[in-house]
Amino acid sequence: MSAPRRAGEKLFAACGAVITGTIVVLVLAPVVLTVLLSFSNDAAIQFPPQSWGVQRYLDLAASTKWLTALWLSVRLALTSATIAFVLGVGALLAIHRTRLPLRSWLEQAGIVSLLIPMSAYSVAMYSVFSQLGLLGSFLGLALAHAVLALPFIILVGSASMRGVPPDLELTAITLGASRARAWGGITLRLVTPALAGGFVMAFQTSFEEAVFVNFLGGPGLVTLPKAIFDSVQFGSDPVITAISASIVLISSVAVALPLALTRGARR
Amino acid sequence: MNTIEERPQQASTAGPPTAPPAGRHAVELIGLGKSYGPETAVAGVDLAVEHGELIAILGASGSGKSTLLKMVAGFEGPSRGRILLHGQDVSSLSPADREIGMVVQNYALFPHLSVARNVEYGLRMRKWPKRERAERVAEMLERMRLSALGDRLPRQLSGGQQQRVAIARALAYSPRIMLMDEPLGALDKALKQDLVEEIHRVHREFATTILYVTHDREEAMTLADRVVLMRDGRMAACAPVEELYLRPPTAYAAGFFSGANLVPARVVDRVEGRARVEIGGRTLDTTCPVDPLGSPVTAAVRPVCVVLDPPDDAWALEGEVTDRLFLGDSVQLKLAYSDADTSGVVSCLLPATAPGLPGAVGEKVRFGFTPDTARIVPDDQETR
Repeated sequence: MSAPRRAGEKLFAACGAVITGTIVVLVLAPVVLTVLLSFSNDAAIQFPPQSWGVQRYLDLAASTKWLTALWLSVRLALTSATIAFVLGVGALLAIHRTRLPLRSWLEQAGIVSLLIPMSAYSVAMYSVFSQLGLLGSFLGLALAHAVLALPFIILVGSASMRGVPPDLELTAITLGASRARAWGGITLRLVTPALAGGFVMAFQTSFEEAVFVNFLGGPGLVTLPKAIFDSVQFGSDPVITAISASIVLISSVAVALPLALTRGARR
Repeated sequence: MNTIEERPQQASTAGPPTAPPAGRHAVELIGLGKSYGPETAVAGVDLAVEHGELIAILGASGSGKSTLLKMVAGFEGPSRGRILLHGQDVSSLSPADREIGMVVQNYALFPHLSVARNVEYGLRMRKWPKRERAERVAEMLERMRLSALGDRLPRQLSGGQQQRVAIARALAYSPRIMLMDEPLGALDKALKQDLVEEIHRVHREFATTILYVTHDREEAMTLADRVVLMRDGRMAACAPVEELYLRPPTAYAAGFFSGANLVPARVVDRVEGRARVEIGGRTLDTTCPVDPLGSPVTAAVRPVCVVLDPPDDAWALEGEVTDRLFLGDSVQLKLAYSDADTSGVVSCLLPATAPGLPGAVGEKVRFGFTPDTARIVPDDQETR
């Protein structure tokens, strides 16, 4: 009786497997290809590679141009993620633990940068920054990136804070804790794993950002994504395969880390 | 926000509990009220609680009982009136400085701290020296039968164990009073009974003053020395449990706390403390502590005071079974009766082994209210 249904289910399962497989291959193939190509010693990028080696990583390590860009990107991402983190934690406190009027709007406002098209946003930022003299400055770019990174702190933090009953804090206060201590020691402590995840996502957002930096960065601020962009535009330095492979590695770790952290906290 | 450092040191914050000051009430509420804009949540509550008393604050949702507790705890500032704990006016103090212990529904144990660290939390906040903290925690765990569980995390505990941790944590620093906010609100009945017994034991052994907020009259009945019945933000009644149950002062108290039937009646004759009334065309002698203002009155009759086949025709009513619930040892019946100008439904509780017990819905029965168990209660509709 159930034989036709089983056959149908099998067909569905097979279709699902094929679709999933195709997507995975399409998404992962370029990544795998890039990693493969980065271990070639050919003078130019070509497929299939004629020779194998780690020459490109040696070139990368020896080149000031790439390392300067990498270092700038790391500093920029750390700065903007930190700004977003501090603002975000303050906003979370206001949204979830005060009776501030319009506090629900605050949450919407915090994530609005996710919704606005980047290019339109950049043009608007450009005119504001030019008036404030922030164009081409590290601080200006860090602030712009912080705006992009803020939604991750707010979204991840809010979801986690909703899981912390307000009674915990109130009880801590009756036990003699100050409001600040109850918030920091209990609620903030409980959402820390989630916030750490949000911080990593904020870091990554800034680290990979390639639109704002073109509008607001100027010649003095060449971040890693911009350096790659320029290098592809004006020729093809084979070192970019090594850089891409490195970024893939760093990103994978960055994505895996919050997962590992939340899993650790749940245990 | 450094309230801890600025807080004046008080003798009872460190070391063993000090004897309560003589002649002062543990809790005194004077004209306590709370309004949210035009809405009055609590209106002028006056209450004095003796040391070691367990007061149940009972009421339906929206009666103001939780707001009252929040004001005593310090989470809500009163709009009017004052709160005195052990004679000290704490109305404007922060919750941290009131020296209260609080147990809430679901217990609010800190999930990242072990049982011992949970119990220690209040002592750390109150800056007890490390050795005294350790001694006190060990003592509390011992007294709450938690010694073997000190290193566990809250989520590894059963519901009953969690409640014991919450109580140990609240009592560790010998607070002036313990506030309990529906601590058994979310539990099933079997577990509830165990935990009620546990709270009863704690109250006896620690001799703590407890304000216990609940919507469950059975919890209030089992645990409390006195019951404060809240209704629409007012104190509808305040009396020792048995007093309130057997001699409810108002129709609302009779219905809500005693679970009594409220039967319309007419006064026929009246002598000191008693009244002869007419119910459904029959006459009945009742207890009547108050002077009934008019002839139509309300008689409160608890379901166990309804009898089948009364020996005296003078107070026997004719009725029909409209509902029948088997409850194990007893059976609950709903009996509908009517005559020319009155009709009603009364609920009655009879032993399952009672002779002549109607077996099915629709059966005709003769029934009555045992003389003098019915009680004339003033209506309190106007206070609504």
